[in-house]
Amino acid sequence: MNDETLSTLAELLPGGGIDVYLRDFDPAFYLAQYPEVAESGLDCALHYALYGWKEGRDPSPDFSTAFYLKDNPDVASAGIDPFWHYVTDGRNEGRAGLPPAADMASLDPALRAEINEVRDHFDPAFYLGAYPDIAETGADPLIHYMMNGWKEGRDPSPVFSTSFYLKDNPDVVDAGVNPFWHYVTDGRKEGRPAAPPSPDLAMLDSATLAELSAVSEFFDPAHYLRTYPQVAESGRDPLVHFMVEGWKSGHNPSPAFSTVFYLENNPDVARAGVNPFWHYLVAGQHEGREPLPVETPAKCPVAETPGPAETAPAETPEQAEAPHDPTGPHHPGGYRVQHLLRQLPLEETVGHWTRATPKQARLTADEIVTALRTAAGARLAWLILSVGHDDYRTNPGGIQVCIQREERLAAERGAVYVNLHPVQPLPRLAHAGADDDPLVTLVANGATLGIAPTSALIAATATLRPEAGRIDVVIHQMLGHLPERITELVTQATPDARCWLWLHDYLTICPSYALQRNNIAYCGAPPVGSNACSICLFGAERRAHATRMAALFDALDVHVLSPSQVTADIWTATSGLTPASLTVCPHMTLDWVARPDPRPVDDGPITLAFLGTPVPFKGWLIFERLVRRLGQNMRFVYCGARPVDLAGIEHVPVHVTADTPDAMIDAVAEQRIDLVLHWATWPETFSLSCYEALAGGAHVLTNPVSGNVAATVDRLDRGAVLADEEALLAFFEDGRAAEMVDRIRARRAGHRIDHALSDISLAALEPQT
Amino acid sequence: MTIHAFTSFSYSYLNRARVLARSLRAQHPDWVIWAVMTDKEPEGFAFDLEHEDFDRLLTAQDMFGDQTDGWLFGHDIVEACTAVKGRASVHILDEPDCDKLFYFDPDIGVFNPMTPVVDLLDDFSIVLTPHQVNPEPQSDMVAIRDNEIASLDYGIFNLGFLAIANDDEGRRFARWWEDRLQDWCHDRLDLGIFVDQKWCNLVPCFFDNVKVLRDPGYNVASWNLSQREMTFDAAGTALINGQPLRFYHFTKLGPVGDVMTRRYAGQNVEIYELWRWYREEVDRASAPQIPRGWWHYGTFDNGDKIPKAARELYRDRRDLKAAFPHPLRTGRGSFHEWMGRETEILSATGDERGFVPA
Repeated sequence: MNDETLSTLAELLPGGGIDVYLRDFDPAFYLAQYPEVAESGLDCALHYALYGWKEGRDPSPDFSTAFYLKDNPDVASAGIDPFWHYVTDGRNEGRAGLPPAADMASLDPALRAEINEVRDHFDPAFYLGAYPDIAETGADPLIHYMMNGWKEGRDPSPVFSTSFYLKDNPDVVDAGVNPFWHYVTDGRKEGRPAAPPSPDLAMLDSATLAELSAVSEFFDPAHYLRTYPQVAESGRDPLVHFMVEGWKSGHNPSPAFSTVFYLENNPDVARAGVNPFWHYLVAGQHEGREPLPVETPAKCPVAETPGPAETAPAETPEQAEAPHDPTGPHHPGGYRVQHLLRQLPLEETVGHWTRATPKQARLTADEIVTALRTAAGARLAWLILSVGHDDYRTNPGGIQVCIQREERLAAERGAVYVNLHPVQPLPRLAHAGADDDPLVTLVANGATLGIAPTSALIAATATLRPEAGRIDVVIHQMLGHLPERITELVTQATPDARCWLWLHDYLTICPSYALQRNNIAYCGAPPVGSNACSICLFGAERRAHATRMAALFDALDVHVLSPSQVTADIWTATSGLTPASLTVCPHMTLDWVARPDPRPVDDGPITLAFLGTPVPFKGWLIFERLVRRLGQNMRFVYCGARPVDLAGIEHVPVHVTADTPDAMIDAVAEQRIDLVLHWATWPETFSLSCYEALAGGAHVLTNPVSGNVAATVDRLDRGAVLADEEALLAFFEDGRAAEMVDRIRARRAGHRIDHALSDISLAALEPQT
Repeated sequence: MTIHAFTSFSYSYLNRARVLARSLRAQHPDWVIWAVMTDKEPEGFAFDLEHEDFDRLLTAQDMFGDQTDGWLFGHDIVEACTAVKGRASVHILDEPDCDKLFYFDPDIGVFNPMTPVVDLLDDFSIVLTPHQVNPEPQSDMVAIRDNEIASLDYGIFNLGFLAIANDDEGRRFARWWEDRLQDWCHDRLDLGIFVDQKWCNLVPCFFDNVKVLRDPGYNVASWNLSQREMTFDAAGTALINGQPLRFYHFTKLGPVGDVMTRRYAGQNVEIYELWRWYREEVDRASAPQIPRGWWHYGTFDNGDKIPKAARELYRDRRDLKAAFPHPLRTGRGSFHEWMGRETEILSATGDERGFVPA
């Protein structure tokens, strides 16, 4: 958890207790229960504190938010986080976090047996829907019905009427037994009716009866009675009601079908006067007709991850549709269209990212000077100013790893390494006029100095310049910054207005830094005035963005560093910017060294793996489809932190951290992975995970759009670049994969693979000293 | 040579018309763009050409004078905004500098220059775009019904677009169209007519120099998406079946349009991107002062909505037209009062036929 999350929590939960709050909060439970929270990018505990408890979510299996608020009206009326109240005060006062006696184990054995006998006939969804007071308590609906509900005249399912059964069967009343249990075990065999006879059924004509039987399986009586309580009150059979008159009144037979929508959109059905639900089931669905309206674009603000967490297009992948979403409507256009429908206009996204300006004191220029002199010790021999977009110490991602490594290498060389990143993250550059002097967080040699307006750092740099042996500015990422201020910083810091700029992504070309048109498709950076830009949600912003980047390149001597040749080529062809120099500096190099004692050649089924985050833009859906198509004779492994749930895939948990940088390489090697699917949908500028796959002894399968992934596969001849999914499948089915795996295994037996990380900017900076 | 273009709409479609005008202006800064307006401004809103991408305004009142209220009373909003297209064409062709005239529906967005059609008008007098230019496969019954049979019902050419050369044949067509729309611009499929559109099935029979434009880049819409695929080339140009996308007809913005797009765009993500753009542009172009569903000619002067049955009665009865030349009026001696006395039209509820603007 980062400092910002902690400080936000501290604001939300004044008076302490955060330690115990976080200790008892169960993030794994929370994410498992509410997977959509992961998409929000918010820390789980922060999500619960901000929204979760208000939405009735539970922070752990041991605490029911709904129950606690109902059981403790003082807490509810105070409007405070109930879980925080519970962990700090409530439980010490003897208040319960869960409803009592909710478990089977505590029940009388006879009752337990009755419960088990009726379980298959009980409709919990109906019960909770019909009796929201029970739902609110969090009680088990079946236990509730069997213990109390039947005595209160409640019904266990839409087809059994407790009060009718008791009224119709005085012997059951006399026996004092549970009427539903009686019906299930005896009554129905004896032909006793479960509910009042429907007066309607006899009136139906044979055609309607035939239609009724055709739709009955898909009709949701519980939903119908819940939605149209007047039908429930009338005591009429819900299905008969729907077939005779409900559909004509626009009633919906289930949550999955909209009667009004279907009739509006299928005028031929409306004209024919037939039951639309029946029409849909027997004909419409096979003709491609829609049962429900299209999803409307998301207008509801969701907490989003501010700023790119990786060198990949964070906005696209991190919020992309989860691979498995059984509840969500599936758009025929696929996950990309579903993602597109959730896109907001760029400035609305900015609005959702915008937070209150922190109240903490701003560092002055003098304070920054003093702090940096102190950090330097005797004399400030070398100061490196590193421009980033987020807190690289806590956020995962390729850029962040580079900055961490660069910071460590700088320290080894005696430099003071100062990273500045915006206090207010933005999905674009900061706008002059809105904020002419953005606040930045300053981190010196890994320790937070504080926050300051960019101008204070510029002034401090000007003060330090005469005494500093050398000052360099390295621009890693400028999202959230004002490039005009960065220009000023470089001008003040260096005598020749020189800086270094990394092409970790394509932000110098477009605010959509992975060149994703509308956040869903690689665009190739066409001209700003093109059709593609004009319909892209970044198009309008890109016009001013391009002008401002050009001004920065005009004002400064920008030495561009590219992690790969392919990126340098794309950038040169499309940016329109003129650098002082352009150097290719790969982050990692690989070396195949012959083993003096070759090890045995691996055998067993071909092992295909997916590394990293299982999101569609990296090809996870394609991986899933391969598993389904090729499952029989192959082994499938997923190496990464996020649990996946698909039969046939082995999950190998892997967490790459600063302390375990080789965890992925080791996992690939240990699992004897032959092939890794890396199906990037944008031209990756380097792709550490591709190199990790190769360093672990695997080959990589990718597509032509994947930038340095495809270039590396081609250059090293370790893998295959396949045109599309069809070509990928053919690669496996026509035997080429098997041939390649034989070669891989032979090579792996005879060679060890050494990998070496680069010195990031230091390699380029040092010759200047 | 000056090229004129117009669109016809009421204030409830101003947002869409603005998007059209802006997109057309971007491609053709030198064209004269007309707003043909069958409406009057709602209170609190002023239409000011100074702040619009339109150059000129032509209102129904300008074209029909004292007859406006009586003639428009026989039309619902769609009938009215299409019925004026004939007279507007004649009016603009009479402009001394007008060499070529284009019509675009307000719910169209222009993406690339219309120059090929401008050039066609050197050789042809009338350019029409069919709803479909490729037949559906025999096995796709739904597409045949949605697209081809719908075209047979509603007209084979889409009159969301039309280009006319200001020559003899072009003017002869405009006058004929004006005549027909004067009397017969109604949504009466039972009679075989559908507003201004179905009449144009007859154009290739009545007129020479008619160009049926089969380039897939024109008038792309849900009714032909089944046969059209959108891509972008490396320069970012939108292509339809490999040809530049000239204009897209964003018909039925809302759930119905979404359904047809989903049915026929399938996985062609670029089409959904166009729609995303269009929704956002229309949102941005909306004037909050215009009440939802506003149409000056949609209500009597007391604010009551005019039932479709009242319009039909009025337009079919010459005696009523003669007796009540100002049918929007209410009170003593009005058509409104007469209907209340002699018919049950005003007391009937649920008369929601006809188009209700969003």
